[in-house]
Amino acid sequence: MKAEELAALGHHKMAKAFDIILLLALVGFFTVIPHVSRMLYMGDWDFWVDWKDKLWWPIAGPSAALLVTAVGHYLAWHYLRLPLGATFTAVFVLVGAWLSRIFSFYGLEYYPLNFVWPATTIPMALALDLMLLWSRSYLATSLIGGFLWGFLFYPVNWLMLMPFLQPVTLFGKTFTIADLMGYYFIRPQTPEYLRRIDEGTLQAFLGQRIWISVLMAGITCTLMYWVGIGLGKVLGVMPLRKVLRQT
Amino acid sequence: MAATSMSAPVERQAVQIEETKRDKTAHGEMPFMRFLILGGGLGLLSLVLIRLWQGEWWFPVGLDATTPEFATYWLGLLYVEWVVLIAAAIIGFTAYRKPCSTCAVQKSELGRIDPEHELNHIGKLWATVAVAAMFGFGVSYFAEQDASWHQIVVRDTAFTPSHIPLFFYTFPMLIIMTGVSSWYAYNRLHHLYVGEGGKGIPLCYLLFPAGGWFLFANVAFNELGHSSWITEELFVQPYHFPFAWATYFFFAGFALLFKTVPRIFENLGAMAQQASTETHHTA
Ligand SMILES: [Zn+2]
Ligand SMILES: [Zn+2]
Repeated sequence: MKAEELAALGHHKMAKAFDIILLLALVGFFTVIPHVSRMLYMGDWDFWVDWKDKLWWPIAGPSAALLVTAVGHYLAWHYLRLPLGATFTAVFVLVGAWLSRIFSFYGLEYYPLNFVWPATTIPMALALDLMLLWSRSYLATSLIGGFLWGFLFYPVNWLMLMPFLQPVTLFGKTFTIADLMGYYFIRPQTPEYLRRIDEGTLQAFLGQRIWISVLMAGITCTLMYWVGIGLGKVLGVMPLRKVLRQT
Repeated sequence: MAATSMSAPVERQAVQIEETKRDKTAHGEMPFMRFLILGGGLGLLSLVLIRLWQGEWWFPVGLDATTPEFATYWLGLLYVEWVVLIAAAIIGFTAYRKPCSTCAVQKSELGRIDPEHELNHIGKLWATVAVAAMFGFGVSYFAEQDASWHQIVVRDTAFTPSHIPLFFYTFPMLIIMTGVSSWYAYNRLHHLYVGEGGKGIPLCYLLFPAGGWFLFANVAFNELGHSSWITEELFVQPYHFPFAWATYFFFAGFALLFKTVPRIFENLGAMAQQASTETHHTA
């Protein structure tokens, strides 16, 4: 069939119905799959502003977010030749996260929204999709786009985090605003962030510390990209071909 | 007299076969767009009603699982959900338990299935996946809600108000709806997956419902973990990870969908050709 004939079929009433159904299926599953991954791997780092530290959040955050985003990126390119999968996934994971922050964290339990905002990955998703569009190569996309994904996560989100890193002094102790909010809004089932997270000799590197984390995140995400591609291949493409024979 | 009474049912049968040959809709089934709107709409309505119920009774009667009010308002909701689940499972699996009779007649009388009729079946399969996706959207919301609720009340039951819609409604509903998708593909469109007269079970039939099943399976492990090792609700703890792994099986749903895409174009092309020859004849 020629390209023009194929395009003409796309204008059929029935084809439009299929477009709508596919979009609904994509929205549903590409909200739940990346969102569940995000809440279980990035979890508390994504929920609470006082957990958004310089050591683990910049590494665990983008790596967790990339895993399923790379699957969306791969499936959209594999099946539809659309360089939009990562952006689509990044947008709908945020829709899922914001619905929960607004209607659960704030709507049911009255945590203020500036204490529970989710990190964004949309700018890096655009970079990832653009890299694939320009290079048409998963390898080049992993080396440049994957690295940028990890590397840019902290700088992009720092714009939102910045106000909460201002120092305050209370009862002779110095905190960040984020820490103070963490002490004020009680979370009986979460181990406090300082005990779990803010440890390690990386503290000794002072000003270089965030750059070390960000570099590590870039490298981790370069590799994580391939985990996502593999996952998409094994569960999103291979089951289409494989038939278990009845004997 | 005897001859006419003999021939009447035969004639009627012949007329029926003629009708079935020309039947372009999925005969005896709900049209796929109506299924999508009704299934998706009722599903969404149930999720919204649960969220409104939570807003009303979250703090007043949700804090202590040992009180009689808790049993009335929260276990009551649980039992209503179970009734809905059982009804959905019975309707979904019995409605599509047999292969389509129209397809069978068209295949035996014309040697092929009418392209528009088959497109209706494919649309119905896609609609079941989209309705399952809607419950996936529900899982996305209620799962993170669970993280927030555990910061309010120390775990004293596995049936806490946020678990009731998550573990005992949306998870089983995902098993049912993804199962219905595979069941529909098996009974209506099996030839697209294994070829005409082919045998075997495509892996995507099994992997798609496996996602819901593994989600539900990890509820057992999660509750065991929380009741034995760590009662704190650190959301990034390792025995939550299998929930995330379980959702990856839903990617198989897209294998199920995209397998039918070449056939959609074939059928649309055949329909366009039919339409052009028909206009040619009238002109
Ligand atoms: Zn049929
Ligand atoms: Zn829970």
